Amino acid sequence: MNDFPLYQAPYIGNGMVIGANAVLHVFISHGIAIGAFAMLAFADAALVRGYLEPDKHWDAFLHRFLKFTVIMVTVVGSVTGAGIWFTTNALAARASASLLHMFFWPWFVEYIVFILEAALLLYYYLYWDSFSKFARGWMTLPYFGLVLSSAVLVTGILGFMLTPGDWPRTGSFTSAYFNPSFLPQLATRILFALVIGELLAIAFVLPFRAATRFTAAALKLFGLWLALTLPALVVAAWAYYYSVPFGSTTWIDFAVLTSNLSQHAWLMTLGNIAGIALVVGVAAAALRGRVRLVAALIFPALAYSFLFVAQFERIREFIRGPYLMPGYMFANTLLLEEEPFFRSTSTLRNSYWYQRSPGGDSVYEAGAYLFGLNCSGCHTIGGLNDINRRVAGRTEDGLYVVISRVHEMVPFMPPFSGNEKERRIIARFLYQLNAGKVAMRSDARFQPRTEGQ
Amino acid sequence: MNGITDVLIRAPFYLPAAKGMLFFVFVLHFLFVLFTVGTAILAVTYLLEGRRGSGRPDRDKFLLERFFIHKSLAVTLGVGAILLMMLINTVPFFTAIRLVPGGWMLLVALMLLAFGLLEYVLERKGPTGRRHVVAAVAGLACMLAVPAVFSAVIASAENPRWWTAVLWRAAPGQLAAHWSARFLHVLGASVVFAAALQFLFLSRRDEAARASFRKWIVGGLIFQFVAGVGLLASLPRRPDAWTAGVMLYGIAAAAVLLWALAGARWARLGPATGAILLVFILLPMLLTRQFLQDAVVVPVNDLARSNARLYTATLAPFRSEGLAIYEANRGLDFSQPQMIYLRSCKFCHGGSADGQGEDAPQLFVKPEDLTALRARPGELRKILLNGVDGSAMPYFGVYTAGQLDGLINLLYTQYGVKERPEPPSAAVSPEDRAQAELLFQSTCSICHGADGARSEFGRHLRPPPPDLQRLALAPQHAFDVITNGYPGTVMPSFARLPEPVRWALVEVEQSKYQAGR
Repeated sequence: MNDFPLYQAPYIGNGMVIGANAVLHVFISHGIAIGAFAMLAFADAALVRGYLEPDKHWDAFLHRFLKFTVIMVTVVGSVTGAGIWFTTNALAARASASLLHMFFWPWFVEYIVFILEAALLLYYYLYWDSFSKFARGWMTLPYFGLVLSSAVLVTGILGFMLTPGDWPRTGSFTSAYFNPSFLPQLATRILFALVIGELLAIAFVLPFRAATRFTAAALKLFGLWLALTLPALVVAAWAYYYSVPFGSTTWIDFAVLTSNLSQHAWLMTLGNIAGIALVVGVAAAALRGRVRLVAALIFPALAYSFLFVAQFERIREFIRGPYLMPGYMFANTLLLEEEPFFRSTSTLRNSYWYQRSPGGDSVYEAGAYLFGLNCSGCHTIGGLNDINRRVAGRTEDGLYVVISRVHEMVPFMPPFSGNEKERRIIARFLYQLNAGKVAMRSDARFQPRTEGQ
Repeated sequence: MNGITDVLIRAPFYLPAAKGMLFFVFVLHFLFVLFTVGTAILAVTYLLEGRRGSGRPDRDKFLLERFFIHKSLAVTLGVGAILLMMLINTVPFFTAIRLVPGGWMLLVALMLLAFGLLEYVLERKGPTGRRHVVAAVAGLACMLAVPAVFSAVIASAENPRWWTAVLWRAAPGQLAAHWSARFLHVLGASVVFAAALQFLFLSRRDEAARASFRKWIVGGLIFQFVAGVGLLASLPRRPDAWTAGVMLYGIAAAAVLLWALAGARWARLGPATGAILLVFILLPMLLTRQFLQDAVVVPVNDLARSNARLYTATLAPFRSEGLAIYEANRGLDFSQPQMIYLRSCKFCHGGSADGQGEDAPQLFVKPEDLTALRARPGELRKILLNGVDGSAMPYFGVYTAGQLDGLINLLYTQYGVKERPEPPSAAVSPEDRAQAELLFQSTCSICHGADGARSEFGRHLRPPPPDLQRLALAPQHAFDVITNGYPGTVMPSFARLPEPVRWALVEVEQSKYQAGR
C-alpha cells in the first residue's frame, strides 16, 4: 500500500484550495494574532504607564480593536489553521503523512502552544477591564512568547520545503529544520505581521476621527510604528531572497504571473511598487496627521497587504517545485526513487487503488489514472491550469517526447513516473482528450467515460 | 548510504505511548466537542422559545458566550488528535479521508459558518428579529453537520472491508445505518454533557435554569438509551466480552445519573458526585469506541507498516539514482540562455541545432534544422510563444520575455539562425525563374498562398506551412525540402523537376521573404 485513492478538487484544483485557506490563515495568524495584538498591547501598556495622554477614546478604541482581534483569531484564525490540515489531509495525503512523521515534534509542541494562545487570548478578552494597571503593563508578554514560538516552530518546516540543507544526503533532522532560509523567513513573517497589524490599527482609529486629539495621537503612534517596521521588512525580505538558491529564484516572476501573464513581468514590478507606495503613503499621512488622506489610502493599502501575503506564500510554494520534500518527494507526492523504479517496472501495477478501480484496464482508464497520479497535483482537466490548454496542438508522438522530457524543459515540473508503455498511454490519453475523443465521467476521481471506445 | 528510508515508517517515538497520548487528547477534545455542540443546541432552542414568548428573552446569550469558549477549545484541542491520528493510523486515516475528501474539507466552511452565524446572533442588540432566528437555525444546522462528517470519516476508517464500496459510491446500507446511529449518539451525548455542565457547575445559582437543564439531561439520557440500542444493533462486528464489560460500566453510570435526576432527589446531586458519574459515562463510552476501533484498525496498521517496510526495501536500489538526479539538477540557472537551450531545445533540435536531437527519430514531423532558419526575432518569439500546431514543438510561455530575449539572441549568435536568407549559390537562368514563378502560382500557392503568406487552406493544415514572408530557410535546406518534401507534413517531393528549376523555386520562395517586417 503506497498510495491513497485519487482525488482532485474539481475545477479549481488542489493547490488553489490549500492556498486559499492558507493565505487567509496566514493573514490572520500573522497580521492579527501577532501584528494587531502587538499594537493593542503596546498602546495599552503605554497608556497605563502614562506614556500616552489618557483619553476615553483610547478605551473605546482598544475595546473595539480587542474584540475584532479575538473574534478573528478564535473564529477564522483557528478554524483556517485546523483547515490547513483538513485541506492537505484530503488533497496532499501522502505529503502531509510524510511531513508529519518527520516534523511530528515541532508540530505537536506548536499544538500545545496553540491551545495556550487561544486560552490566553480568551482570558484577556473576558477579564481585560478587571486587571490591575501593573498587570496590564506586563500580562501580554507570555502571549507574545507563545505566538512567536508558534511562528518559529512552523517556519522551520516551511523553510525545509524550500531549502532542505543537506537533509537529502544525511537525513539529519537538525539540518532539515534549521535550514538556510529559516531565520530570514521568520524575520520577514514577523515584520509583515507587524505591518498588517499597524495598518489594521490605523483603520480602527478612523471611526473616532471626530475626536481630533485622540486621532492625531493614535495616528502618530501607529504611523511611527509603520515607518520603523517597513524598512526592517525590506531588509528581512532581501535576506530571505538571498537565502534561497539562485536556481529557484529564477522562477519568482513566473510563480506570480503564470503562463497567462509571463510576458508582462512589468505588471508584477509595477503592482508591487504601487502597493509599497500605498503603505508608505499611509505611514507618511498618519505621521503628519492627514486624516482624510489616511482614510483614502488605508483600505487599498490593506488590500495590498493581503495580496502581498498571497504573493509571498505563492512564490514560496511555487519555486520549491518540482519538490515537495526536496531530495525525497516530488510535488505530485511521488518519491524520487519511485521514478526509476516505475520506469523499470510499472506505475499502474504498483498502484493499490488502480488495481481496485471498477472500470476496465483500457488505454483511457489507464491514461486518466496516470494523469491523476502524475499531473493532478497542479493540472486539472477543464479547470484552472487546464491540461487541455497545455497540450493543445501537439501530436501524439510529440506529446510522448515532451512528457519524457518535461522535467528537463520545465524544471519546476516533476518527471513523469512510468514505464515506456505508460508514457505511450498517457500521450495517447492526452491527445485523445484534447481531440475531444474522451470525456471524463468523474473529474475528481479521474474516471473517463468508457462507452464508445 | 544515507539516513532516509521511507519517512512514513520512521515513527518519531514509541507508538504505544503515542496511542496513550491520542486517547488522552481525544477525550479532552471530545469533551469540549460535546459541550460545544450541546450548548449550541440548548442556546438555539432557548432563542426560539424566547421569540415565541414561552421563555425569557435573550436567555440564549449566556449560553452562546460559553459556546464561544467551548468551541475555541474544541477546535484547538482537536488539532492534536488529528496529528496523532495521522501518525498512528496513517493508512486508515488518510484512506478514509480520501473516500470523503469533499466532506472533510467542507468541515472548514461548516465551522466558519456555524461560529460566524452564532457570533452574529450573540452580538444582536434589541429585540430578536427574524434574521437572528434564521442565522441561529442555519448556524446550528452547520454546527450539527460537523459531527455528522466526522462520524462518516471515522466510521469509514474503521471499516476497511467497505473502503472500495464507499469510494465507488456503493456503500452498503449497514454502513449508513451505523453512521447515522453513531451521529445520533453523539448528539444525545452533547445535550447530556452540555446541560450537565450548566446544571452542575456553571448555572448553580439560577434555579429556574437548573430545572430546565435537569429536563434536558433526563431527556438526553433517555434518548441515549434508545440511540444506544440502535448503535449496538448497527455495529459491524460483535464486541468481545472485555469491550462489552467496559460498555456496561458506562450504561450503569448513565442509569445511576438518570435515577439521581429523575425524581425529587435531584436537588441533592452535588458537583463532585455529578462529575464522577459523568467521567464514568464518558470514559467507558470512548474506551468502548477505542476497543472496537482497535479490533479492526490495529491489524490494518500492522499490515500497512510491514508493507511499507517491504516497499522501502524494494525502492532501496533506486534510491541513489533518484538522489543523483536531484543533485545534478540542483541550482541549474535558467536565467542563462545556454541552459534553456540545453534543457528545452537540445533533445529535439540537437546540440549543434541541426535538427538531429536524441529524440528526433521518435517524431513523425522532424524537428527543424535551426542553423538553416532565416527569420527576424519577432517571428522566432511568436513560434516560441505559440509552438507549432500539428508538431511536437511546444509553446514556451514558462519563460518570461527576458528569458526568451536571451534565448533568441543565443540562437542568432551560437546556433546559426540568421535574419535574412543568403542567395542561392547556383546561378538561376531567367527561363527557369519564369517557370518557377508559374509553378509557384499554380502549385505551391495552394498551400503557401500567392504572396507566400499562406492560403486560407494552408492556414488550416496541421502543421501549417511557414509564412514565407516571415520565415525563410538557408538555400541548400530550402532546396532539400523542395526536393525531398517535409516528412510528416503535406509538403511533397518535387524531385521530378529539373534541378535548375528547383533552385529557381528557392529564389522565388526567398523573394517572398520581407526582411523589413
